[in-house]
This record gives sequence, C-alpha cells and structure tokens, in this order.
Amino acid sequence: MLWLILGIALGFTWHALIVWSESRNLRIPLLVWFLLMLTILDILSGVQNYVALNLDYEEQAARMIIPVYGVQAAIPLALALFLLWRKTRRARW
Amino acid sequence: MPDITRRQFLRELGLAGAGVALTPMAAAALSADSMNDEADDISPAKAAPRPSWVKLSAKPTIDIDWTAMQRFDERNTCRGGLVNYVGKDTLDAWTKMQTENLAQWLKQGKPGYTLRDVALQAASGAGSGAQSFLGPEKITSPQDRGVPAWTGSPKDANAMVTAALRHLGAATVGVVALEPATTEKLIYGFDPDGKELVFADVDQPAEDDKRRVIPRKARWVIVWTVQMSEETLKRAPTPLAQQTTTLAYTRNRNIQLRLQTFLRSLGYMALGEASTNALGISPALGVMAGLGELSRLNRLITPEYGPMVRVFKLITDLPLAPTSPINAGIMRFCQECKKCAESCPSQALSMRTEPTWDVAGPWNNPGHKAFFEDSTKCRETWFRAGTNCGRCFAVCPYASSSRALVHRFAFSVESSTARFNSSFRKMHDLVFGKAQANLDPVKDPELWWSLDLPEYGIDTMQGRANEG
Repeated sequence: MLWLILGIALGFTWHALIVWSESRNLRIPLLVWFLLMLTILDILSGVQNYVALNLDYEEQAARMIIPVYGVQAAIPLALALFLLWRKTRRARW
Repeated sequence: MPDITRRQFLRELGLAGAGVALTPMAAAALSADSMNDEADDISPAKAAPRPSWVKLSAKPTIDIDWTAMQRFDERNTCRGGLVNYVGKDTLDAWTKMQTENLAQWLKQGKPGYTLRDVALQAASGAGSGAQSFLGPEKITSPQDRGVPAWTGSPKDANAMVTAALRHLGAATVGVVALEPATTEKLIYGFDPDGKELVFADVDQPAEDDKRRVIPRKARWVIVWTVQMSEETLKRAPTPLAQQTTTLAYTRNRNIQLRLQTFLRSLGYMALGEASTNALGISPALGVMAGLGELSRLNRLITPEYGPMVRVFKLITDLPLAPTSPINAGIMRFCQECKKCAESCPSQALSMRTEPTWDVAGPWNNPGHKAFFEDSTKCRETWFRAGTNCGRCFAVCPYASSSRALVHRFAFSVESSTARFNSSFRKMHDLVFGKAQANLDPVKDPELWWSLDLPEYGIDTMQGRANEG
C-alpha cells in the first residue's frame, strides 16, 4: 500500500510539473529531469531502507538512514530547483 | 491553472497507475537470479535461487592441501576433548564458576538470565526425535509397496531432495561428492562416542559397538542449513540467545529423522549424524557444497543468513549432482573486518589479516588455510557466560537480513571488490556500534519478549528470490 500511494503521489507530481512547464511555455532541460529522477530514486531508496530496517528491528540504523538519504536527495533537488529558477527568470526577461 | 479535460486527466492517471504497477515487477525481475543463470551448472540456484551477487566457483575461497589433511578424530575437538587441553582441575574450576554465575544471575534477575529466559532455554531442548546413523528401524520400502526404487537424473534428484528438505524445515541445501583423496577426508575418522567411521566395499551400512560402516557406493553427502533466529542470537551470550542454537539442533533431529525416512522410503540409504555434530566437519562440507564460505569465525557464513545457521549432513547412495562452492567475497571481507575477533570476550579468534596454514592447537584440523582459533579460550568464555556465547555471531556484519537495500548494496559491492571493505566496516561500527570485548548482549534481552517475531524467530522467505 505504501508503494502504491508513493507511486500515485509521484505520478501526480510528475504530471503537475509537466503541465506547469507547458503552461509557462517552458522547456525543462534534460539535466533537470535527470536531477529530479536522482532525487526521486534517493527518496524511494531512503523510504525502502527506513521501512526495511524498522521491520528488521534495527530502529537505530533506520533513524540514521534518514539524514543520509535526506542529504543525498537534497543535493540534486536543490540543483534542479536552482536551474529551473534560473530558466524561469530568463524566460520572464 | 491550465485547462485539463477529463479525458486527459484520466489518461494521465492511467499512465501513472501503469507505471506504479509495472515498476515493482521490473525491479523484481532485475533482482532475481537471472543474472546468475548459467545453462549447465549444477548449483543450489537451480532448485532454490541465490542472491544475484553470489558467484559460483570451481573451488572454495580458502586454500586446501588435501595431501596434508587426514580424517579428523572428533574427540580431539574442544567439545569432548577439552579436559585433555586444560586439565581436570581447570575444568572443574570453570564448571564451578559457571554454576555460581548462573545461580547468582538468576537470583539477581540479570536480563537474559531471568527465570523465563532459562525456562525457554530448557524448553528449546525438549521434544525431538531420535538421532541415529542408520535411521529408523522400520521403513516401508518401495519393494514393500511393490514398486522399484525411485530413479531420476542427478539434477532431478537434487531438486527433489531440496524440495523435501525445505518442506521439512531446512533453509538451504547442497551436495558434496565423496572422493577418497579429497572430500572423504571431511568425514570424521572417529565419532564423538568413539566409534570408528569406516568406508568399506559392502552392500549395506552397518553399526556395532565399535564401528559405523559406510558402503563405498554411498558417494554423496547432502548438506543443509537450519536457520537460527538472528534477532534472538543478537542477545548473546545469554541463555535467551543460546536457546535459538539449541532449537536449531532440536529441529534438526526431526529434520534428519524425516529425511532418513524419506530417502529410505525411496529405496536409498541415509546415514546421518549419530549424535550432535557427528559424522563429519559440518562447516567444511557446507563450504564444499556452496552453502557459504569459511570465515574468521571458522564457521560457515552464508550469503542468505550470514552466520545465523547451523549446518548438518547425511550420506546417501542416491545419485545426486554435486553443487559448486561459491565466491561472494565473504572470506575476503573477513580479512579486513575482524569485528568478531575484536568483540570476543576471551580473544579466542584470530586477529591475523591473512589466513594461515598453522593451526592454533590439536583441536584444529590442518590442511587448509584459515583463521584458526584458540578453542580453549572460547570454551572458557562459555563457562564464564554459562552458555555457548555466540557474541561473534551477533556482531558479524553479515548477520543482517537482506531486506534493506543498503545491506544488499554492501553485499553486492563486497562480492565484487575489496576496495570498500574497510569503509563498510567503519559504517557498520557507526550504525551498529563499535566492537567491544565483553559479555554484554548486543541487543536488550528484555525487549525480545515484546517483539512480534515470526515462527521460530526466523524469516523463511529471507534469501528467497521472491522475498518482500
């Protein structure tokens, strides 16, 4: 059920991003798509590890996974958002 | 907000749903044993898929000099032969110490040593079938049923035996072919009760007061593992943890008896352990059968369950296909890791980086390169703790379920290269705690009683291709 909900949420977010870019007449570069894919993979991997470690009664390890994958996901996400912001700023000009 | 028609919305929803549904299936296909699939190899993978990072190997990951090896006398191990190495006075003193420690800790209510813990320990040793070399006396043979003995290809026989053993409670199954110059030397020369194990050109096995006779036509050893509860053994060295070891042995008495009944009912002989750990060197046979690798623990470490298994064997004349040894980078990781040795309360385990041919004492079997241990020191800790310790098992990085991707990733990398082994060891220390050589349990024994553990405390889907 968790993965179904995650999948639907990701699907909607992905769709919303596509629709938003089309509405702004914005072409999102391939690099940004790649960075967002990396972010999603990191988030999903973090969730999988967190859940699995808790199921294995390794609560301490599960808690430590959160910052590890959090940082791993934050870096490409920040870069992607920065590149998007820069592109929208240029588009406005 | 841009206009989206209902049709567009539903189309996008369908695409998203298809992606959600198909992604797990794609992931499962990628992680299955398809990467380990070789058309003509005979491996446990054919009957029971192995993790994809396990590679088959023509020889085990330790060096063996079969010419230097003899069939070992089991009475020379520290199980029955300890008094010969430490002397009666020392052994008596250790026994007194054990009795006093257990009584004191029981009264104090020391976690893991409380009344309910020792009661569970007593329970785990109760209620098992008789263990014998020849198997049950009365069997309905194929002839009694008016049919010939079962026949089939060795591959089919492997698959059949594996299916039966799994159903009876075994975890992984492999086969070793007995060769006089090599693997036959892994069968004991003398069993723990002093009876000699003799290979002879006879038609039927036999047993009397002095000998157990193995017909030369019984050329195959079925080797299997029985899981211990990893979560329970992490409470080592308490009685609470010990009972999972005892339980594995107890369960196996029934497994062996039933396997003997199964094979004899098919029309074949089934020569089992006459007593605990009899017949042959279990870890060695497990290595040769490809169930795992030898390790710094000097016990088998399996890819699926780490060291959290007990290994058993049985000799048969049912033609089987030998299964290959494996290389999963485990022994190589042991060279770098050393966490078990650093955690040993009595420093019994070897701290060498490279394995050696030099044995630590007459309790070791020469003829292979290993991290030989001082078993007398190990036994001293057993008496001090009042149990069979097991702390080395509890701290092993391979004693981890493979559900979390981070574990699978680490095992996969360790299987391919040793470059990151020291980093993995450091990460293990960071997350699970540094090595400490004491008698403290790795996990809280009191907490164990509130866990919702599966039957026998084991996950029977762990290590399977379709595990969750």
